[in-house]
Amino acid sequence: MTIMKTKFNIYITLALTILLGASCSDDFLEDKKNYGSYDDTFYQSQERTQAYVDNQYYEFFSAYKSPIATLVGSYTDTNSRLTEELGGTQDLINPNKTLINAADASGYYGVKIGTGILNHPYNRIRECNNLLEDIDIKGAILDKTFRDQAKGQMYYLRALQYFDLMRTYGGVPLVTTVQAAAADNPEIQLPRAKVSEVVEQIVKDFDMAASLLPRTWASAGSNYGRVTKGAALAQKARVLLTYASPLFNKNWDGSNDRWDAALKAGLAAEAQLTADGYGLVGSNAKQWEQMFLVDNAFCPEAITVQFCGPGNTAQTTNNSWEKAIRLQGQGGSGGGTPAPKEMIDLFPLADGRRPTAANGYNDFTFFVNRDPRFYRTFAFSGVRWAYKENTTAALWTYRWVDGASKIGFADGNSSASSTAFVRKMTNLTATNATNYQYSGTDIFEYRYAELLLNIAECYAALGQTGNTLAYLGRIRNRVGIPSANNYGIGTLADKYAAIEAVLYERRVELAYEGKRYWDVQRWMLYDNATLPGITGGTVSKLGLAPINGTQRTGNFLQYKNTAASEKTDPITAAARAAVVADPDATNFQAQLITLATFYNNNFVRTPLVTALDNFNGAAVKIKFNPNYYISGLNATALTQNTWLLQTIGWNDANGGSGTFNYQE
Amino acid sequence: MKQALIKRCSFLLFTMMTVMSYAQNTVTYTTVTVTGTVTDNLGGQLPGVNVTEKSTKNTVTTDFNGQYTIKVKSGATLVFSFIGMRKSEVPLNGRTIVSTKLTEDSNQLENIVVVGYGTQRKKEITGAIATIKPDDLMDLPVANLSDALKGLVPGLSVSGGSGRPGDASSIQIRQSFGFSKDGNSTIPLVIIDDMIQVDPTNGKPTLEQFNRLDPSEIESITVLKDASAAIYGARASQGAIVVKTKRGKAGKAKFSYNSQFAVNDAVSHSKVMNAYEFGVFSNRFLTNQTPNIETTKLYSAAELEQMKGLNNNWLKEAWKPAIQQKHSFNVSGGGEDITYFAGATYFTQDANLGYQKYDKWNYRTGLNAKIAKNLELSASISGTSGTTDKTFSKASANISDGSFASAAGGEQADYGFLLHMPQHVPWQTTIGGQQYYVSPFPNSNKNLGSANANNTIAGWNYFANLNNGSHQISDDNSTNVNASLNYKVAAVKGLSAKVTYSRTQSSNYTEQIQLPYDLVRIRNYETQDNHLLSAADPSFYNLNTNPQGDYLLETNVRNSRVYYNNSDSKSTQGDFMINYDRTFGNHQIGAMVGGEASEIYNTTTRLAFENTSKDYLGSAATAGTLNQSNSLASKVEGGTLSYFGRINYSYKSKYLAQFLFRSDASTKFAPEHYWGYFPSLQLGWVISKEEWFSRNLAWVDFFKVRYSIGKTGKDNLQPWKWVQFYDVIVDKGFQFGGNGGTNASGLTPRVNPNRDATWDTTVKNNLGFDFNVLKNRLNFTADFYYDKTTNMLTDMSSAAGVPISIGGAFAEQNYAAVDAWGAEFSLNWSDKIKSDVSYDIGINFSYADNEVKKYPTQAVVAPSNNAVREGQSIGFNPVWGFATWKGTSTGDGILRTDADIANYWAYLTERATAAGTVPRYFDINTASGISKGSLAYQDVAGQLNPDGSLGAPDGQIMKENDYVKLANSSRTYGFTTNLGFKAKGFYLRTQISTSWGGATFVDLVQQGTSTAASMWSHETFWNDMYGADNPNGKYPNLAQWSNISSPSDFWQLNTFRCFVRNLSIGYDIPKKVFADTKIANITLGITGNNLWDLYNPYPNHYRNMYDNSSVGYPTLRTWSFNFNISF
Repeated sequence: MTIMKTKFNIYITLALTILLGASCSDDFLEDKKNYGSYDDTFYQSQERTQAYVDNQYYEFFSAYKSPIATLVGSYTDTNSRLTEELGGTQDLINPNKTLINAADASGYYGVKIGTGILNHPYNRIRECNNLLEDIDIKGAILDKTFRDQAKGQMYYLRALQYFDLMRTYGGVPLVTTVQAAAADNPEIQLPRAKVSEVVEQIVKDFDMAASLLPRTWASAGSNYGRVTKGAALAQKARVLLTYASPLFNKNWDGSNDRWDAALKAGLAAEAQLTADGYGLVGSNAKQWEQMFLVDNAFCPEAITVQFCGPGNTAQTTNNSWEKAIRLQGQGGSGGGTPAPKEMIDLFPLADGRRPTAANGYNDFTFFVNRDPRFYRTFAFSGVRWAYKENTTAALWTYRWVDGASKIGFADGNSSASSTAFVRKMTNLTATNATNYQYSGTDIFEYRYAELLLNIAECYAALGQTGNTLAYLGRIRNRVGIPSANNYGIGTLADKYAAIEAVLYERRVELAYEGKRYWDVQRWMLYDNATLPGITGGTVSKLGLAPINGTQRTGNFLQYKNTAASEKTDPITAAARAAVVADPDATNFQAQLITLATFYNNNFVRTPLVTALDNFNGAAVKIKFNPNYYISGLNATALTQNTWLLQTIGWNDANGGSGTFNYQE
Repeated sequence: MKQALIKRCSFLLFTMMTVMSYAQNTVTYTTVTVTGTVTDNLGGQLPGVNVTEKSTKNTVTTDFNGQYTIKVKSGATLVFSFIGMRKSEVPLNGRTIVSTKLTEDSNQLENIVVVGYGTQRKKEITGAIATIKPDDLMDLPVANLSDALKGLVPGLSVSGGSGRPGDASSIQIRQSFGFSKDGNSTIPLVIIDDMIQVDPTNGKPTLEQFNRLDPSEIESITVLKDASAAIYGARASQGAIVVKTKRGKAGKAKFSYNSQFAVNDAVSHSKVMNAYEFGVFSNRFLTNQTPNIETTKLYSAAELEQMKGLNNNWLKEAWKPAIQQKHSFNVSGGGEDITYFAGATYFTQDANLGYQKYDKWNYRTGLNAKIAKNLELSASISGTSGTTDKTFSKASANISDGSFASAAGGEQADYGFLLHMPQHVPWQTTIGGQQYYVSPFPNSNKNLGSANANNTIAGWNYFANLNNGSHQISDDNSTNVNASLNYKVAAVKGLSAKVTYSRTQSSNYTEQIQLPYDLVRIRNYETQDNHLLSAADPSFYNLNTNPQGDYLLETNVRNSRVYYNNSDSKSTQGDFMINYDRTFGNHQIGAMVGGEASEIYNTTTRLAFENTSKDYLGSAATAGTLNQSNSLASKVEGGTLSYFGRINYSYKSKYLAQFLFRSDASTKFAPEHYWGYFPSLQLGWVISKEEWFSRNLAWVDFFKVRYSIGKTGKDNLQPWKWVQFYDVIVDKGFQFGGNGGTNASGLTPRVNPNRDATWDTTVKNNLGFDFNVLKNRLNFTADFYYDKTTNMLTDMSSAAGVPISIGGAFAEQNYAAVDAWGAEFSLNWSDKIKSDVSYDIGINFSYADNEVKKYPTQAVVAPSNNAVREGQSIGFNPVWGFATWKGTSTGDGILRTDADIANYWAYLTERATAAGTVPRYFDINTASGISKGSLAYQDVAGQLNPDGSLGAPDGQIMKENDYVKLANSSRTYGFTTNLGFKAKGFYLRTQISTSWGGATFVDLVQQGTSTAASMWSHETFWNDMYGADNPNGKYPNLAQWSNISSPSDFWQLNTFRCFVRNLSIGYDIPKKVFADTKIANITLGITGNNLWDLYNPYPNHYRNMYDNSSVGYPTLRTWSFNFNISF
């Protein structure tokens, strides 16, 4: 018994020793690591901090793949399709549709916070705030210049984001610190700031950015393209111009304050940029065209640039523009980007005058004697438009009808729906091998020309027509328009005529660069009608016709006579080759006269079977309701954050009327 | 932290001491020593048999080899008893060696059931525990074990598994919830031979090894549905499945072999339009979309006539019935000190599509050895290896047209494409005497462009892809070593200690190869009268030399690539347990305490090469260019530490009690929140053993009431959410200067951490009744459960009131609560009519419901929005949709005429006027904006009020707001019936499933209209859709997708379903046939799986009851021939 007991105790002791000794330590658990992620000591490494900054650029701009796309982060081309530049009915201009409920408002503001990070505006702002708060503390060991430049870029990006929120929604909550999620913390339940407060914050950020950013980056080979001091100042000028415009400025016509501020900012930016080597590129339209193709290297015209790259990998940002504008016959994937007749009839004549019948303009042989920029902006049947595989290719997009009413198409361009097609910013050496999908053409988001036009607009609104003409003259002089009669502009009767002249010049110079919608919006050009509480009426004041009630018109270019067969092109290849006009040829205008004769001999213009602007096949005219200028907040935002007020003109989530006035 | 540990260890100590001090009071005495071996009727040695000296408390149990030694008074009688066996009494008659053979007792109550870290007798079970006999699964021709469990256990549901070779299904026990975004899992915890199965890449439960097991290597499967799973504590909220694999039985070597030869074919394919029907449909669709469409864009009358003769059925060409085989053999046997089991299974499945092939090998060897007195070793080595070789046709992955392409998606899209390819399109054509694969030309109104494309169907040709060497081959290997040492402490009867170590090492290698292929494309098929291949000039186009040629030869290189994937994982687990089991007269006591530590480690690497050329040779050097953003190398590690224990007590097998506990640590949480504590208590009362009961209710053979309550947890969070990290992403950092346009590394913050995150907690209650009557022939089991889950890891940042303007994302916090309850019933009848004729019927029925008790306040939404809200249930909500407006000319809600639209608009206008608003049909504000062929819906409500109610009808049709209840609940009621019949060697087994309730709709698939969208050959009911040429069509026009596709009563169908899931017929060849051989047994049988539906509510029976129109792969019906032989 005793022996047994002793044994027993040994066993117990042994067992417990094993149990306690071997198991009761969870140290091995704490040794477990997470591989592949850094904690916030990454701020101590310049390389990692740089990667953080570069990721911010990525989040802001990776979706920017077409010059007509706008709004940082999302970069959609929907807005650009609301003006005369491009056909195709959109909800916001469809007379059969009314968007007034919160559910129909823009979702750009963002959705509720969750457990996964979404690349939405306020997340981008948060990540800017994050670096601004932490870098000087956690990254104190880093070189000060590096830290300042990193901060400068964050201030710049934050301001850019607030600007796009402002022009979408008017006032939005201003967040400049990193906040933690809480459902019941009144301190972070910020109301929509007034537009003036938002602008003040944006200006402050751009000023900070300007003070911290370099004029040009050292090691341009790896840094060119980052935002600069000049870019910050130019963006500030753009913001102040928007703020001075009638949409946000009910006293635009009576008070000079905001126009003065915008002008001052514009001139400051111009001075800074000029000093830093920026300016207008070239002295003729060919150089103007080629300027857009400067790739990954300094272009004096490009105040800000979006880099795109060729190649078919996930690392590359491809530009989708070349694919969108090339037609089937050139190896593209569709009908190209047809230019509505309204755009064709818009560009000046060669001497700068407006294209009216009185001035000798014929809208069938529309290509004769136009502004040099016309031929660099549009292509049409009979004009050279090269690509890598065919350096002498010419565009032909007519159709023919045979005796049995069967239809054939020149060069397989079966979906061509206009007599002219957008070719601006095209690369004549692009390959059609993959439907032009992998284009690396960079996008100039803010050109020096735009800055000059912004300044011209301020001068115009201030009634300084002389200065207006001087700035417009610089734009036209550069593309080779003769200086006579103020480059064809003539005299400007008053400030309204001056403003109209500037807006006209913007439509031409900046066509298809994603700017037109925002000009129409700033000046409220769809109609004189406004929402109650909002001052408008600018359309009449500027002597314009409202856009509402117009449409974007497409046409067929059709062979005049009955063709022998739908299968065979009634015009021979040799006949076509004889009349091709080359914009780079010295006798280009003479070639165009020949081509015009060819048009008159062979073609007629016929209406499309289904209109460019149609709804369920029936033609419709543009109707843009006044509440669309500034979107309401989406139902998600309003129901999620019930303290946010809805914008006037929009219903809140419960059908009540919005009260937030963006002109106050 | 350390304090807590000391407490825990002290508790263990205390428990131990209690057990020990009890042990010290025992007394032993001696007279004569008897030894012997106990075997079963097949000669297998039986461990664990109770050997008792009659009329005394003197009892021993047989060891692992069925041997016993007992000291008794001479002239005594020995009583042998063992669960599942008939009790046997043997007088000594002067012998000192008494060996005996026990025969099986069909009374299942005596069966042994494997539970967590131990075993129990079925009659003494106090939890909701179900067992599955692997023998019942042997015949089923399924590729993975989960599939075989369908319909067998009430409360256990099996879902998913597309049926493609190598795809597995998933299992869920009762109701499982989790509000954590990526960390949640509803898969039950699987334990194979004490090793907890977790995914080494994320620590979540996995069915990977479980699905690979072959029924022939399994001893038993136990399903722990209630708090019985609490012994697995932190990871057992979803229930647990405990598997014990086979070990040897002493005796002569027994060899058995069984083989299965099966044929797989689709239950059926959806009925789709033929070429002519497609042409008519396409014209009707396009004309409805654009009433004044150019005639060049439509199929002409002559073309339609020609299409009547075209019959290019892509699927028929590609699909074939496939063969599946399984061979398994095993051998077991052993001597006095050592027993063994060895088995191997080979399974091979051919493909119905392409050359897909799935092979798997399983092997298992198990050994029990007595290596010293009282010390026994049990070890097993097992492994699986599998090879999946399949067609790789990812060229289609980027086609997103909202239609069949999007519905199936990715690599799984080929079936949908083949089935829905318009049948006027051939896959091959001859040009200049040579065969070429064709770039599909499914549209009459547009040309999809280049065949060198990955975002349109023009770049896809299944047969070209199949025959150019593109494929994906995966090899996986897994080896498991499992060893335990059991030491019986001789001095203290019933006390033993056990150490277990298990380790699984697995690796997976996948090579994905996609090579370029050539297609010929008709360059002008969108033009007048050129929509069919016959119109194309059969020569290659050349601007100068052959301008009338209509074909272009293009090479699709767009997705050419080679990916090499490699993954290696290690999981280890060590356990230490002390067991105590003793019977003292009427008191039976069991106790166990143990500790467990586990670690996981995984590495994954991938080399992604792109732009591979046709002459790829199999090596990286010939694979193209390396894509850095798709290449990766990553590492994951994690660990757990646990303590657990159990105390059983039973008095006369009448009053039963059990206490379980477990304490777990998980590295998913911050160190101060590592630990969770999960106790459980179970009580049982076998009322039928009470004298007063048996006296008055003698017809009741057995009646037990049992109750369990326990706490389980769930660490359903992604690891490392308690600390702020920043991720490096190789392709998300912009580059500048010369590198502009090509991205490099970016650093981006992960979600904001929550250092306080800890376990979800579930308290599980289960009340159960077991009831046997009519001589145990009828047994009835009922279980009622109530699970309260609290502290659930919830996305709090989505609550209303959290400003959107803060940005970022936040880790889950412990907040929400859900109560879930339900009932499960099973009724089994088995009887023998004659000595050799028997039959059994089992019916399973279960009911489940739940209520969200606590959830962050969400933004106000319409009542029809079934999003998670307090007071509502998850999964059992009303089914909502529009009610069609019956005022149309045909009364069915289809707007067919101008008058219909005018009348409908008047209806809306009247209501709008009354409400002071303007009429609207979705966002359309004019009658002229509505197209014929749309559906008219009733206006039943207005705008949403701030309190979540809806305003009065306002003449505006809005989704959600104007929905009505189409069914009060989505709940489906159903029961499963298992039938068995045996007569003279013949047997029959079948499972019939019946369900009703909820809501069933015609499944609608969109026809995309974007420039890249192809026109598809849709399901046949669309042949009768409204069109200008078919004004009385039964269905609205598909072109009005946004106006017809919302859920509505128009598409609602009867919900009744009854189907025969499987059926087995077999024959045991009488022994006399092979009486002179060593053969012990031969069985032949035929089994069918996924058999017949008795009712199909779909119009024109366009689809079967298993697969919807957009299914990525059809459900397979399998018929197999089974052959078993044993020696």
